[in-house]
Amino acid sequence: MAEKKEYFRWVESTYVNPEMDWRKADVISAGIDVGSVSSQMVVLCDGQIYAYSNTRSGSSSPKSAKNAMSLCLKDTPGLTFDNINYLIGTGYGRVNIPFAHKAITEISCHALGANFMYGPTVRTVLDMGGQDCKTIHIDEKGKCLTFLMNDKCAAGTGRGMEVFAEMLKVPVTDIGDMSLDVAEEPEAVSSTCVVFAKSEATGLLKSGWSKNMVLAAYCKAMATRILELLTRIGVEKDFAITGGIAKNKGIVKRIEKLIGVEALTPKYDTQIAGALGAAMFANAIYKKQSKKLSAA
Amino acid sequence: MAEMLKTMEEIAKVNVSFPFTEPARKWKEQGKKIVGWICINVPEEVIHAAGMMPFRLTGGNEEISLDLANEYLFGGGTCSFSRTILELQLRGEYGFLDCIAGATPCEGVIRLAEVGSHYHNIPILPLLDTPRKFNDLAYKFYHGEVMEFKKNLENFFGVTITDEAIADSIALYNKTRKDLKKLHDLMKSDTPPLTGAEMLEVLNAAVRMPREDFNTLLEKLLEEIKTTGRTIPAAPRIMISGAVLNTPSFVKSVESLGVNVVVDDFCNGSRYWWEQVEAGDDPWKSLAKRYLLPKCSCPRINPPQNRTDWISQIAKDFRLDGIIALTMRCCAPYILNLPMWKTRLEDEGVTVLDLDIEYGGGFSGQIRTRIEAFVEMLSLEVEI
Ligand code: SF4
Ligand code: SF4
Repeated sequence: MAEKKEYFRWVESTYVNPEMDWRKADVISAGIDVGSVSSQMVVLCDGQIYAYSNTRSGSSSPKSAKNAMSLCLKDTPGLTFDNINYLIGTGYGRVNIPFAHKAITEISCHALGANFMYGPTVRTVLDMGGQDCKTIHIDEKGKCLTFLMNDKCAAGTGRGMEVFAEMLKVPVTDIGDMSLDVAEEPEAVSSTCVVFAKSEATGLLKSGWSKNMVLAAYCKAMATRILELLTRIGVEKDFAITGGIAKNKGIVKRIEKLIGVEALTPKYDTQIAGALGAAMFANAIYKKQSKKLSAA
Repeated sequence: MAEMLKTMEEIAKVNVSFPFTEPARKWKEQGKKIVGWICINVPEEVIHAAGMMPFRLTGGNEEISLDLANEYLFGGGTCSFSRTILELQLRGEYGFLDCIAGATPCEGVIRLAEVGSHYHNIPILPLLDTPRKFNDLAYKFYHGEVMEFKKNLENFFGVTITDEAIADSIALYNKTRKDLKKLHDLMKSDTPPLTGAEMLEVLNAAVRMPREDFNTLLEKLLEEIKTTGRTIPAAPRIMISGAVLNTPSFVKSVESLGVNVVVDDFCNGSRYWWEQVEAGDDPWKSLAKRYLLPKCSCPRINPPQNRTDWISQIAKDFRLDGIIALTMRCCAPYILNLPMWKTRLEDEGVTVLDLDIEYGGGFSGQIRTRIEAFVEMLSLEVEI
């Protein structure tokens, strides 16, 4: 029997810097971000990215954290958990990571992670995660100055995109490009609520709309919804997007158009921002503690 | 962990059996009357001088389901604070009240009183009509309202309120205000004597028992603090702001993240005790003036400048690092007022967290994350 195609699947990724030798590092720090939809781990050697993983979240937070860790340490020659000096958990499952030394919220971590990923000029971060969206103002050091969060509903989030992918039988990673491949930009679907948008989309398909047009209408609705959060906080340049939806060009381009500001181009997997920030905090906190110890 | 204060245990005990608290039960057993009041524009002294015990209508120590209230009110449209009170009334838990006195702060409170008595048969006295600004005309008008309130109470219970009685009641209530101010002045220390959660227990008890007894407890508490030298370790100093909060467990959860809640601006907190009734030739005129709260007005008052200045003053006096500003759905006065002072306080170096949460709401996932992130903004100082 042919395996059922799962359209919501996105690419899980791992990375190891081949030029680095972790044995030469003074401090090895790590961050694990357990989100509702995806989990990541980042390992830093003296503050530089050595390895990371990005995977789907499992049934429980401890399991997801473990998965992210075994994936991350799969191709790191000889490196095990015992070699990591300090590990910080973040994300929605942060308090349920048994082997973390400390938990820090995804808000502080995304702020710091975005600062590393995009450089010190970033002032406004939009994180579009699996189940919520947040906008964060940060300073040149990546410290969070203010933030807004929207939750309670899957609209405008990764989970919503996955549901749509399944419904239209379109791989979730193709949605962005397809939604931009339309002769004319359609009106947004009137509701961003996933349940209502789904039935609205079914109606549009029946009345002869192409899948691309329906996707365009949905992406537009999501972008408009996210605009609320951005307008309320005020977009200061530079502007950067983190999280899984940063990979969806259909949403990013539409947001850029709505606010009249272009987002910086990512150099890394945008989904690791939270874990990266956590690993940076781990590095800093570990150094601070050992300084205190050696002074005592 | 700081030592538990003995007086705090006594105070917390008052709140355990809310709404029908132990002291209220004892009072009723003596055949005496209890008048429920809804908004802090209702002069409690008048009720006290008439020989009744004033009892404030609020929700209890935790969030409750609002099924009955939602049914009667067709779901939404009113804030969860007023719906919580209505729910308790509909469940019959406020059945020990002999009547209800209210003012006209916002639509929620006005209609709450009406709907409550309509469905639940607790008689309601005509509401005091509270002006929305301060000027001589407003004082004069409110004086008239207070006099009418006096007459309504007298007629309802068949009693007379003498000028001596009102003067005594004013003195008694002023004593509470003075001592609550003393207690809060101690909170200005880097190492305050109480946690914010304990302070809320004190404030809750104040309006749920005979005032004479509360004043005695409060004096005892001040004395115990003095003799034990009890302190809470220093931590970032914050205020929780909003309409009303009655759940010490919420404050406790916030403090468990590593901050001290040293003050509030709730109408069951600072706004309740901040202003004294000034002495004057006519106690009734003094009452009317005080109960318009000219110094610490709530958002229903126009213009909003007065409130902004007050919050800014609190921030300076209590050396605040941050403020958690609570707003609840359908509470137009507070939602619309927040932007008026938020940016000003931010400009003055205070971090403000805008938190929408239902009345009595707990410390669940998203709420916790937001508050934790706010605490990190105040305390996560590391060199990257
Ligand atoms: S917030 Fe103002 S209007 Fe509302 S109950 Fe309190 S005092 Fe009355
Ligand atoms: S002021 Fe707000 S919280 Fe108070 S009763 Fe009115 S709507 Fe409810």
